[in-house]
Amino acid sequence: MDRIGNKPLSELLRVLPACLRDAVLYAGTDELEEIRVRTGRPVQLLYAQKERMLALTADERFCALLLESLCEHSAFAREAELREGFLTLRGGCRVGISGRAEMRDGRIAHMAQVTSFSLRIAREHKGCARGALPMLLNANGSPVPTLLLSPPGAGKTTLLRDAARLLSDGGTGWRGYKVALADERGELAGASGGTPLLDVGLRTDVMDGCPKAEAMERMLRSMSPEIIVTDELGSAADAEAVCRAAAGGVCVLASAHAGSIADAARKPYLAPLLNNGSFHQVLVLERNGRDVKLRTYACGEAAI
Amino acid sequence: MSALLAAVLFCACVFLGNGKARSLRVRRQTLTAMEDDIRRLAERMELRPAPIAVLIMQFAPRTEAFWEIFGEKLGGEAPITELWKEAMEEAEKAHNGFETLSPEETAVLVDFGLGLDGIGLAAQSANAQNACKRLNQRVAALEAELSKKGKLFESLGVLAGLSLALLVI
Repeated sequence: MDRIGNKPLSELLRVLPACLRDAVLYAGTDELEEIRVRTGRPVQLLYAQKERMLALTADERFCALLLESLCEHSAFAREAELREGFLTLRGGCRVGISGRAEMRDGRIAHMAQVTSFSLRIAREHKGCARGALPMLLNANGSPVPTLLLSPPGAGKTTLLRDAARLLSDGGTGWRGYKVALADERGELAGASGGTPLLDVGLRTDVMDGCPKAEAMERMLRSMSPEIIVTDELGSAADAEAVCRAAAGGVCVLASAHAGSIADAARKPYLAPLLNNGSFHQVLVLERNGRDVKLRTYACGEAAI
Repeated sequence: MSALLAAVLFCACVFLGNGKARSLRVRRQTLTAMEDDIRRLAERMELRPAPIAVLIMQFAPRTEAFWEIFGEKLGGEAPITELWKEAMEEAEKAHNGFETLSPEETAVLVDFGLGLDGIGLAAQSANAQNACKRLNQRVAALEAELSKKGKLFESLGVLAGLSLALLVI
């Protein structure tokens, strides 16, 4: 496993059952983006440009063992995450789960049986946001409040992480900024025990494992950030926290799931953010295999 | 020569009698220590949602040898219920007090291990509470047995030793 340079991937492989780990290593890990495990079906590997079905079929026992391994034999410690339908591993890989949920008082009490796993491999592509820097910084080298949009799996988190790193480290033409990372699911910094395992910059403070709206409020009050970075705005509370941070003079760099600016405008919590000055621009990330395009929209205007 | 043989027989009988009583005491100690450790583990689980392997390193368990074996096993791949069972079997072979337990007492501990794969803190707390309650009942029964039989075994050992020694002399 030492041969694998990708930290998140090696952390993921470390906790996989040996049979799955060996099968994945045998199939190859170059450009591997996702591992899908479903009860009664072969394990599927999704690469940037292709997919592969393994000769390994998951059964109920295997799924139970996989869940145990991912939770390090301590599912009780990941109860809240499991209830939300995901787990974030050391290193930032996110595991989505589905199966049979057990309801109590109208809400999910816990997952009684997990039958499908989506193991998404976090990528640390240092420098991938360099091309986006002219859009993220204005002529004076000050950061521009930006909302990054794309469908799931296009690389928003990877881009956001590298943008946070670049803005935090500083470079020719811009100084390093104090960045606060509201990392609810731990994917941006891949923190373990509060310490980021991925490079998020010299001047970056991370708050993970806490709802992002609350994390933004707290960091705004206590860490005097110049830039707040957060991933996947998904509720009115998140949008409100962004508004408050923007109104407080902090530049917000955030992402959300949407295929286009029109899709974003249809989301009731995102629409106000596009017009109230919280964001000055929207970047739409489009990806086709290795081909990545970034379209810029000034808020309320057509594509640039 | 016969005096030496009498002394040897006396010592052997006393040793056997004391050994039987000591075995009861070790059994009680093992059960009370496990009850205490399980309770403390459950408290740790509530205090900090960390993996069991981390939690058991954070408290000094009374049955240290067992938890050390179990902690090492947690790096393995089998379900936690099986790892717990394996750890118990190994502890038994290593003569860490587990070899003195009766099948019913071992069953209480095995049952606790079976509940370790439960999702949720509430399930873990209930599992630990149930195990502690059952262990407590076993300890109470064992204490009653010890107060009755402990002295009896020791006295029988001395008496048998004396009788044999007198016979030989």
